[in-house]
Amino acid sequence: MLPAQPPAPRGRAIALFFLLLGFLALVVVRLFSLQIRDHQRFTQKATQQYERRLPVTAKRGTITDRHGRELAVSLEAHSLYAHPTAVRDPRAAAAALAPILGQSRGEILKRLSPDKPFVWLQRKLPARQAEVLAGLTIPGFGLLPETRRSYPRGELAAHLVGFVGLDDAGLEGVEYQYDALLGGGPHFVTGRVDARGRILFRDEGPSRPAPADLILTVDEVIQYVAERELKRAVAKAQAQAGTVLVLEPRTGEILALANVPTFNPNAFAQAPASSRRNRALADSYEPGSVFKVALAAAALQEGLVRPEELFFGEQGVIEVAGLKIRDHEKHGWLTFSQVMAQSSNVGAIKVGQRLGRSTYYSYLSGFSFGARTGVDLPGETPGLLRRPRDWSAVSIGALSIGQEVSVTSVQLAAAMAAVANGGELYRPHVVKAVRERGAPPREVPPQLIRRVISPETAHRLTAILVEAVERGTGKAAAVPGYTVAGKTGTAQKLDRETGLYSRTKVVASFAGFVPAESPRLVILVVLDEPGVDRWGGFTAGPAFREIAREVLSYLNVPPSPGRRFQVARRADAGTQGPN
Amino acid sequence: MRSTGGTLARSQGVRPRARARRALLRLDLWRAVVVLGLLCLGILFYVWQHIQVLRLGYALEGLRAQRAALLQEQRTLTLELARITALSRVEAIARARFEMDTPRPGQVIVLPEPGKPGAALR
Repeated sequence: MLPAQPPAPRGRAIALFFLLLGFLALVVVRLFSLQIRDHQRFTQKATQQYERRLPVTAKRGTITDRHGRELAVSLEAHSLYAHPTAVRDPRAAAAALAPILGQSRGEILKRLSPDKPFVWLQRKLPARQAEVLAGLTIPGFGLLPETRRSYPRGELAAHLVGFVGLDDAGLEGVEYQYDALLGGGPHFVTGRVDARGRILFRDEGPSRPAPADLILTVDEVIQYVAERELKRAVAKAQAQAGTVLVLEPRTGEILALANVPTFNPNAFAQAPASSRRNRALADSYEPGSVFKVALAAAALQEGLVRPEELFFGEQGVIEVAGLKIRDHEKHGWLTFSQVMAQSSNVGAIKVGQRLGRSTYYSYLSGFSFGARTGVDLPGETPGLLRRPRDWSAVSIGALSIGQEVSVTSVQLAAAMAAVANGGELYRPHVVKAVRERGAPPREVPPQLIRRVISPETAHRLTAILVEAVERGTGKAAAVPGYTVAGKTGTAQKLDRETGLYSRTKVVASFAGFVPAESPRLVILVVLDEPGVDRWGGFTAGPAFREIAREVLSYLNVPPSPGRRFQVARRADAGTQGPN
Repeated sequence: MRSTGGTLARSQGVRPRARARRALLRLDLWRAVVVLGLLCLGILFYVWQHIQVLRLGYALEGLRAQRAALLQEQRTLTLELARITALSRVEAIARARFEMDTPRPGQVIVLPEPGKPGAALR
């Protein structure tokens, strides 16, 4: 027998070749499967493993007063959420969370109802609570970074600054008006993480514009004084509500805007809607005698009256289209200046009749009565000024004494500012500058609406208004050491039940500016339904005086020429010096 | 003699060639070592780069977190300062603790600056 012959080397090589070829084919097939057929699936899987949507919290812009003092600031906060379906042991989770959140276990368990895919357990947690919760690793729970808006000055300028809701969207005031600029809220960027979930890189990418900071025209000190004095005046007069506006007459900047009742924006939900309403621009009312300023401006500008011209007071009663309109006291002959100083309705009606419908209307609309002033705050009402064709025979008389017209406090203050600055009506505004990230503040220039009266007319009217304070109904508004120009107003409110003017419910007001020769401040004080001392001169006047006195001192405004203070000595520090 | 002479001649002819071959081999070896070394260096550099990027990524993220924490602290302190300096609080303390009062008319006199009718609005 022949020994078995080893396979031929060529045959072995061929076998090895095919074996390797087969192996290679397998590799190629697998590669095809991995790289081509399932490429997308695996790429997605890999991306899911190392890419994450990372939450980034863009803090809402800061709101400051004109000197950079913070009125609204955003802080980082975390909100605790849960996916109830992913919670393995709700009872254990509730037991762990209850002491940290300060909620009962039952309450948490109730929220973890499995029929909901997502629930908030607590929004905007304080930093310490969030830190403790971050240390817990309970499946199905997570913390989402958000921001919490804080108003460090509490009630100060609450109606002006406004507030934001839970989702950081502005709901009132500047927060609402400039919501797009202030921005904020969480957004997401793509980032890469390692196997343990630690962030390696984040793609900052082209993000949305950074939130801007707002610098308001308001001065914290002036605002504080205005609020304090308004509260005092409302309490003293037992009024239902009140408003104070302080304007810079040459630019229309609002230095202070105060309302009573007020609210704390940090807990705005606890305040009734009536306290949150910005009465300075959302409420309109019949202004009463303070409106005679517009009448006098029109009559002087048209050359229809002279300050020293005499008007007969008709012993306090005048009949207009069969309707008797009375003065608060009987007057005989009065100069036009005295008509204004004594706030004579009879004299004012006579001037209004001289003016005529269309001329008077053109001046009233020139002062922006019946139209929005365009103040950069939400909720401004235009008030009501009917067209002359809709006026009745009584209307010219009623409008001459501030009836049959409804105005807002902003409109009144802006009109008074126009008289103070020499006849130019400026748009009242609350934002002084906008500061975008990395850029210098961008100033908001004053906006001139129109010239309403000439500087000469404004000058003559100022002299008349000075007399109204020094010798007329506005004596209580006089500020020692300074010349004050202003006008009182006591407007009867319409009784909704009877449809007649109420004998007890009035709107008392005082609008003026100081120093009269070079006005720095326009101040309007309005008290709604004072219970005692109903006259504007007695209720609103003293509030004007106190605000003006303190603010002039704060602004280092020197006394008016020819006015002297009596330097108070230690013994008589409590007495008031003469003008 | 012939054979000896032939061997000698061969050795004399072959030795230089073998030496040259050995020298060449040594050169190739050196080249290979250098190439391999460069390759290793390249790989090391590549790996080092990656590690550096990762390390810097972690460091960057750490610094980012630190910056965020510091900014948060700054804001918290700003807020606290604003609360503490709120005028209502300052006035309450001034009145209650220090028995201070608002200056009465005549107690504060603002002197006009020479050549200026009034100071500009602050």
